[in-house]
Amino acid sequence: MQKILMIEDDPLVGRLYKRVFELEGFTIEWAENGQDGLDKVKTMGPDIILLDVMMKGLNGLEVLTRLKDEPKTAGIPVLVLTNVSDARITQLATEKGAVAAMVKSETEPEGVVGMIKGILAKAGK
Amino acid sequence: MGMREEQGLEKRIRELEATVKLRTEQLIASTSRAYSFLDSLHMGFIMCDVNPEVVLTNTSVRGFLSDEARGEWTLAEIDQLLEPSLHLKELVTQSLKEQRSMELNEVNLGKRVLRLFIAPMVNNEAKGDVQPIGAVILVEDVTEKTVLERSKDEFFFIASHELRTPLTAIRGNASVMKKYYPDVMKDQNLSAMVDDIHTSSMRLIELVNDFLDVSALEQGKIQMNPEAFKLDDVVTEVLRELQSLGDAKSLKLVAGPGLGGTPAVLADRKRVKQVVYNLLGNAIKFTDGGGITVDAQAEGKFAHCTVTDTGSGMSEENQKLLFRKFQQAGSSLLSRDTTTGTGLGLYISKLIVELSGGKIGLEHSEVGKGSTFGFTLPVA
Repeated sequence: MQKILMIEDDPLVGRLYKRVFELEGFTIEWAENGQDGLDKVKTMGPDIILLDVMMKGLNGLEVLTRLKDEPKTAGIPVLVLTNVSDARITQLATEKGAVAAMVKSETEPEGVVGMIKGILAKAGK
Repeated sequence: MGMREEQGLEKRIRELEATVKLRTEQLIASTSRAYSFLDSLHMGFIMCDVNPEVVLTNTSVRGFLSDEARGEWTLAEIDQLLEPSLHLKELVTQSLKEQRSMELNEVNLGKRVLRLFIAPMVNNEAKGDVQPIGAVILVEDVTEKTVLERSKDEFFFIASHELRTPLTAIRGNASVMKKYYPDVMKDQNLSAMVDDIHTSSMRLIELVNDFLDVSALEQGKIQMNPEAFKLDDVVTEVLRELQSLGDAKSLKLVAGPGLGGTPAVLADRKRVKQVVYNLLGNAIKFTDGGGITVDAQAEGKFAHCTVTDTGSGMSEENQKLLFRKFQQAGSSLLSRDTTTGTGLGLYISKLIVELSGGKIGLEHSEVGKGSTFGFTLPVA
């Protein structure tokens, strides 16, 4: 079964995506802040990471930089999900190695599922 | 020399001395008036000679530069206090040489943010080839203004995030209920309520987006990314996306014959799509029968795109109200049609088109027959 690590500090959004991905048959682990995410990525070895941007403590872009700087995690595809619709954030995220960045309020959960399936298929997983 | 002549000469000398004294007093008075004038200005003032070197500074600028009283500054000393990338002396030299004024926004000096204005001084009474006799630098302290501006930026950044997050959860959960719980959704009332929750969240998201767009566009905070593209492609995309709305009202949506032949335009593709989406969306909203045609043609250095509908049209009185913030033509505050959007669409479109170097307007409208809206964009 494909494993997703979701790094998301908002419980409303976290519960929504956790439910959707479980209904879709994925294994999903939820890290509630950036540091928690960096810890969990080592123990769980996810196939893909869903990453929020605006978070207390380590923000998403900092987490992304650390993931990409670490050879063991650099190869895991990261999908950035944010509600800050600022072209600069999207650009920064892709420059830092995210596969794509999506605005949560503009996307149905189905759209996020579709995106994740597409990325995993491309990565041959 | 006779007695009389000598007396006459002495008298003349006394008169001259008196005049010199008077003129000197007048000169001192006017100079000190000029100094007090300069010192009473809130704006900093630096006068330079042609070398260029500082000749005179006023109290305000000395206050900006240092908390302690000291002798006259040199340009090199002032340069050292300013941010390293800025070379004030070189800029003044350039201003003198090219005889043009220049403006520098957001110059950092310690904790202060300054705006500088450098201008060559010319003696207007000199004749022939007029050379500057020096330069003035006006210095404005814009620290407070800048801090306020930055906090406004942060406000919108945070507001957009905080408003969208709960809306995402409402929209997402409603849509998950519809998709993954078909058994429960068999109850028609429940299903209709979930639909309404979903629609409401979408409307709120749209509203938040419009509000944020307006404030960002008004403040010039939206970065336009111009690229060359064919209007044809954008129109086709929008027609496809709005097809279902058109179908729901049995309207015929048509791409006109001129579209394909129009040269590529230079603008922000995403933003232009927003404009086309808005004009076509409006046309669908206000048309109950017939159809809508989107067409374009080249007009000199511009491409001219039109959206023509067979809708309700507008009276001349109501036409004047278009393109204003929150305005739907003809709507009084209490009789607004709140189901059709924020009334910000045309206003946003206008801001986008104008920022792209084009024009937008209502080109023709007749009550009961329909309207044509159009905009222009520079060709690539």
